[in-house]
Amino acid sequence: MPSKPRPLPAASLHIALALLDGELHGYALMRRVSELSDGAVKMGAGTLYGTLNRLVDDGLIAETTDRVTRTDSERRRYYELTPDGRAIALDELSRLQTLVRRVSGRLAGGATA
Amino acid sequence: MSDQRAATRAYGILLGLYPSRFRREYRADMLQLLRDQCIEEPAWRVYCRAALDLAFTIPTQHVEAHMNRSPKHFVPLLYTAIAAAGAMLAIVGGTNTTMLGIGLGIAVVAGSLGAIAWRRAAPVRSTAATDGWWKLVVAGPCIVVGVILAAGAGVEAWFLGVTLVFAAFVLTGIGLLMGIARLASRRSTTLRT
Repeated sequence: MPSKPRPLPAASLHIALALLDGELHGYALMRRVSELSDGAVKMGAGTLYGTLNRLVDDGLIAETTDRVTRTDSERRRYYELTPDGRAIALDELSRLQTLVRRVSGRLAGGATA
Repeated sequence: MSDQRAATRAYGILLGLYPSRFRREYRADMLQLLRDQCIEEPAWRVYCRAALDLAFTIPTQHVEAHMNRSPKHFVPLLYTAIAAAGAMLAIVGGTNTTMLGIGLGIAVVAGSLGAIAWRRAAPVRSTAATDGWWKLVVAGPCIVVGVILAAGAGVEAWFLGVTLVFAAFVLTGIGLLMGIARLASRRSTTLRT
């Protein structure tokens, strides 16, 4: 029987969820994570690119070519979820939704202790 | 503006401490990210966050360059060991002012980074620990005043006095760095990757 995949670590989870909307470059990804968490999660560059590097190595995200033509000749690398990465991100989302629903149900049922 | 340029240049130099593959791959992107952040946030806050980020992710990336996954407690243990080595250096070379200064400096900086790293590695973070940073800052001078008063009263305990002054420096240093870190990362969460 195949073992259940382990939950993604926090930074990987935030990045995977942020990329569900579509491809983003590093700074946009950092802002998106911050926005999704109401500003509570702010990643440093080392954390962001270290996590991206690991997710690329694990085959969960892929680097895409430049999609935006920039006049100042700065290159921006964009990242998007691979099909495997998308499936895992959706699984994680579903796991979190189930968790919240169960806890909310218990609280609503009076089990507040 | 020139200060900001100098800080960005210093950051670029520090990026050279990452493993070569990681550096080649992401150096330009990380510099660009820092510049982008400075447009929207006060530069001092961005640089404080970047300094802490470098202190924790450089050792992590070096470990990961040799392993598949970074051991969760590697970075905190590394800084704790460096702090212990610094404290030993200060104690052993206590009569030599230079050695004492270097040892104390290493112990305070590495000890503070170790304390922050242990806190980052904890699954649940409480702000209660850093809320009391000012108590550590105040404790240091209080201990020094106590030692001076004791010496003035004729108490002859040279080794105990040096040890207490050393502890006072460590406490104040940790308190100050905790205060700075708390200010820099206010309302922000650092994540386990």
